[in-house]
Amino acid sequence: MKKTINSILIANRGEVASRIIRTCQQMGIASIVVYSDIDKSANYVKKADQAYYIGGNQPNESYLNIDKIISVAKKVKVDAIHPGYGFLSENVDFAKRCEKENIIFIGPNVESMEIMSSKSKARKHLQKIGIEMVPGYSSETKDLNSYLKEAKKIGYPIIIKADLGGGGKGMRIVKKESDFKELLNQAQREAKNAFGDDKVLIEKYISDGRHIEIQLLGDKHKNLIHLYERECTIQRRYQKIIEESPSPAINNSIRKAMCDSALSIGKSLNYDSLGTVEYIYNNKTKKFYFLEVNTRLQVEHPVTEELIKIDLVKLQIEVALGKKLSLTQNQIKPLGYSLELRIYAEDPKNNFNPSSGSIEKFICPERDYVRIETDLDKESLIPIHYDPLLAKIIISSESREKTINKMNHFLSELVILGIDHNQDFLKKILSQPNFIKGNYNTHYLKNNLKSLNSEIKDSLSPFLICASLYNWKIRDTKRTLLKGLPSGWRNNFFESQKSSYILANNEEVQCNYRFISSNKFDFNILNYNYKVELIDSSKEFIIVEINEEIFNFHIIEKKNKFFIKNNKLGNFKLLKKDQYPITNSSINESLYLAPIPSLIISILVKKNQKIKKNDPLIVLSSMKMESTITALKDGKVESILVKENQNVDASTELIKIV
Amino acid sequence: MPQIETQINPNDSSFLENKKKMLESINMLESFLEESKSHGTEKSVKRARSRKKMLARERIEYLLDKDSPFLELLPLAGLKHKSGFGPGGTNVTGIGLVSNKLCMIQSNVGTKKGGSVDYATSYKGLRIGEIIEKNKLPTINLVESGGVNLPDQDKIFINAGANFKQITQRSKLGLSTISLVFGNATAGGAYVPGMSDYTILQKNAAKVFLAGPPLVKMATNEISSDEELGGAEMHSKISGVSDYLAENEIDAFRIVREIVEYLDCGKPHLIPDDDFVSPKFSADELLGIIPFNPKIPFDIRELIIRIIDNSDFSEFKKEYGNTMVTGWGKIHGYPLAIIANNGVMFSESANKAAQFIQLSNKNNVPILFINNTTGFMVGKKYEEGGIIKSGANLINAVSNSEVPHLTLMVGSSYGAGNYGMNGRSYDPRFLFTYPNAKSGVMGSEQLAGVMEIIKIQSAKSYGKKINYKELVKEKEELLKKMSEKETAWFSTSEMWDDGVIDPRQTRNYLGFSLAVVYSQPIKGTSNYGVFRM
Repeated sequence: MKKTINSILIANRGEVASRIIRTCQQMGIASIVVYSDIDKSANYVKKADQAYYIGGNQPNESYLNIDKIISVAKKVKVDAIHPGYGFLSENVDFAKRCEKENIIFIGPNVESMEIMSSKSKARKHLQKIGIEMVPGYSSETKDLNSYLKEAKKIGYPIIIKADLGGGGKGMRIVKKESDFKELLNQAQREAKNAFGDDKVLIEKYISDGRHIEIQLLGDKHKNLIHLYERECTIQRRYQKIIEESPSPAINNSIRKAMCDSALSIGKSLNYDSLGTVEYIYNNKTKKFYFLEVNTRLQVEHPVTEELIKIDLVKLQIEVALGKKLSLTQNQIKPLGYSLELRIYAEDPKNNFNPSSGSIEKFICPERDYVRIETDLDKESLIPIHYDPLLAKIIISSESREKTINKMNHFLSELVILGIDHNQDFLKKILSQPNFIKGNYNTHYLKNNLKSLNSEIKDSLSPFLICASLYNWKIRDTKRTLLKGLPSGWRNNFFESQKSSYILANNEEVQCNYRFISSNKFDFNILNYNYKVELIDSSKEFIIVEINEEIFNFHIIEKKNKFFIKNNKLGNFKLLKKDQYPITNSSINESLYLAPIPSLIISILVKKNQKIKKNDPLIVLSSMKMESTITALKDGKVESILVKENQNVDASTELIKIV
Repeated sequence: MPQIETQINPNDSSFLENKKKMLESINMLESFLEESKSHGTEKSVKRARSRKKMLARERIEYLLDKDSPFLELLPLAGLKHKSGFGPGGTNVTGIGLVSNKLCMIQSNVGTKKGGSVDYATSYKGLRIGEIIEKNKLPTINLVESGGVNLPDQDKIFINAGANFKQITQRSKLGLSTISLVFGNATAGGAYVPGMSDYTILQKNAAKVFLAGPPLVKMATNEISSDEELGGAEMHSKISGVSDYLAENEIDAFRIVREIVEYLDCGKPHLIPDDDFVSPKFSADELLGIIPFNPKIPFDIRELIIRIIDNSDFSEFKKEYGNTMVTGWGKIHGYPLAIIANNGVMFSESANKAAQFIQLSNKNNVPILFINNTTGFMVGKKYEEGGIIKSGANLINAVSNSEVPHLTLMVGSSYGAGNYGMNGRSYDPRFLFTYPNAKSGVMGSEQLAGVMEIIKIQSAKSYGKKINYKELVKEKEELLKKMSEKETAWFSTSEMWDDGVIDPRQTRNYLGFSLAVVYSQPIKGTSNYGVFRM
């Protein structure tokens, strides 16, 4: 067993790699990272001490490829591997392989990982130690009838889960018996595809539930403490986007019971690292049930770090090295309240579909009260191959209300332009009365989707004015001729300058504007008039006064597509309409002409004959080459204008088709 | 440079009175311009809309580069023609940027009398032809015209032919004409696309033929359709009259912009930096500076310092011939020589101007003539002093000068004064008129008075009895008629100028004109007729 760690290979990428590098730097440990093709210029690669290429963009070729990662680790002779979260973080084979290669795997003992890697194994284990679980059933036989029987016993609604699953894959909620068979099949298929095993289990489904989890930390000396809970109920597609602590839902006695439960589970596993016990909490009955143990660093770990003011990654590294926990349970004191939001590259208006592409502008104001976890640079590429998490924003303060207000304000300042993301959606959640009251469950987003996606009133015109002036400024700067004249000067004014934009919903809107003098304009949009002054503009930032109110905009252009952010109105996306589009010249559908002087060899159709597109009509010969005139569309032969054996000049009309 | 100080008091009662009168004239100008924007009857506009056709002015707006300035020329041509088609005729014409090149754009108002050509439209075309040729501009014709207005044919027939000649002569000079046909271009009108370097025909809209189906039936008994005789597809695929087949109007604009992109328009003489400074004195004050009564003199320098960059005027021969002001200045960064009347012209004034014209030619600088003169001084003393020689010298210099000339009418411009100061017949590249300006052989009062004297003398010589009552009546009638014919409205109607302008816009008009004249090499001459010494 090693006594010190001088270097850590981070078997991960992006935001979490950056997070681990930071702690390594503070601990004086060299950080070694690996990268795929597309991550070559990623921020975490720049920050690390050393970086090694491990293969293609598909996770299987790189971040999930144990051999490649181990070979780098051996080549560089690292002391330990930190798996981060996702990828290989809960992979038992990987942990075993590290052990075999005499590399410290920064995670718990392999036995704990093994038990908790399967939901059914975990259930069995916990049953033994008397932990209360949601009524459930699993079977090796995969026999439909026994599932049906058990489901009936448990009572609908029930939930089907992939045994090895996570992230909502292979998960189905069944409301009535008649749906069971079909949904079971679906879940099994999905589980097989995602995890290589179609084993599923069923559990009672708690429809008014909340996800609350307890952070555990143990060492190799049988010390185990809890670091209180995190509430992770705000989810879409079974994935968390907001986490907070303390939970607004539970009182101290429930909290204590939950923490005690988690500790006893940890103890039963001889848990010796950082880990999390997840529970489902029934809003109605106020009872909680075990869900699973995550044997790794969690995405939302900063919530706890900010609440308790500790570095979990540092502690995780220390215990992995065999150090005794320096903290005792009594020393753990939550300070106030902590909240994390996850900014994802996704479109909340379109089923949260992930988006990818380049971020051209990222401005994260430095505020003492904010912690940001991100790998974004001023410009970054968001690949399609990986989790589209762009950034986590963590704020803590003495109260929930204060924290939410600060978060709200910070979200208005943060600028991420270039792809779709959920910044405004998150901001909307923070302003919903039920969220503010802490009154929500796991269906909260689904049930409030419409209001969360609603547009801010009267926000369209300012964005259109911004885009128009941004474009105007670019044109105005480029002027060479007539630049002494006012922009768009007319000595016999007829109509305003126009520019048309296409909105996200494909609607077209026309901006009419007229330059008045020295950066002052009259705008008319959808029959409303605006007095506008362009106060200042630099490359991607403009300040505009619209009807006696100042608006600041960040704006970038990507191939005629504009991404705009205003702190009050949020984000907006629009497309500049091409003023002179290339019209697809439809094929001439009426004229059939001899291409060059020719002899008519044969006429293959008769007058009034119905023909189909591409049917041969007339065979011509010229310069000893035969060619066939074919129908350009379906129709009828109206008249034949030539005869066989006739010589025709070029461009002679041969036949009329209608 | 020594700064000229203004002597103007904008609270002065005469200033306020002038301003009031000038604003009244500007209102009148604006109402005439409003009239010029008519696209014909509501019915024909509606019909065009239903056929998804753009109106003539909409076409120009769509074709121009975004935010390009546009100088409309002769918008009030034919204003006073009783049987004409209204101010501007049936062609909207002006200069603007297309693909960042200065182009003359002529757009037929197809919705007004079918776009047919009245007398004013025809003459306007000739003047525009001159401007195109002198300034070496490419031309874009947006064609939708039924050709000559037949009742006017007796007045137009000869002119109309000259229009076609001009197109091909310009082509010879390397000046391209591009015609986009959106509708009728028939009979003589077919020669507009026919003579052009490039022709774009709009599918299912263009009709280009010498004779339409009825005339063909009359002439040869052949039965035919519009599309067969002159459709865009036929001309694009069979006759070759069309070089580009446009799917719709917007497609045609895309094509013409592509063509212009590749046109060789020559190298500009100068494109100045844009770090010029506006005049120190307000252009708004021009309204009160210029006396509404042309008999009241004013210092023309007050006008000059309100139109040139930073009011920097480098005056030449300041102490000599002081009824003529000469000097250098810039507008929008473009250098120009200014020759401006400061009252009636004496021999010294004329000689000074003639000398300054020669200097401008030496330096290849365009000249701006600012007209405010009742003409050359008359009387025994001045005839003895050879004022005819001085006037002749000035006319000699003006006529033979080869740098571009611009002319501005700001007050009176009478008699030989008009000629010496580069009036319409002396081919200024551009000539603009203030609404208060007056021009003619002589002032209407003088004219009526002279006529009265001649009549009395004539009656006396024939020994006739003079009916003084009748004479007074005749004089009044003549005065009325003549004072109408000396106004800016009359001169612009007759196309003696290229437009009546709001004095506050003087800088923009001149800056635009200078950008046009400077877009080609400028080369002065040292070759003149014999100067009488």
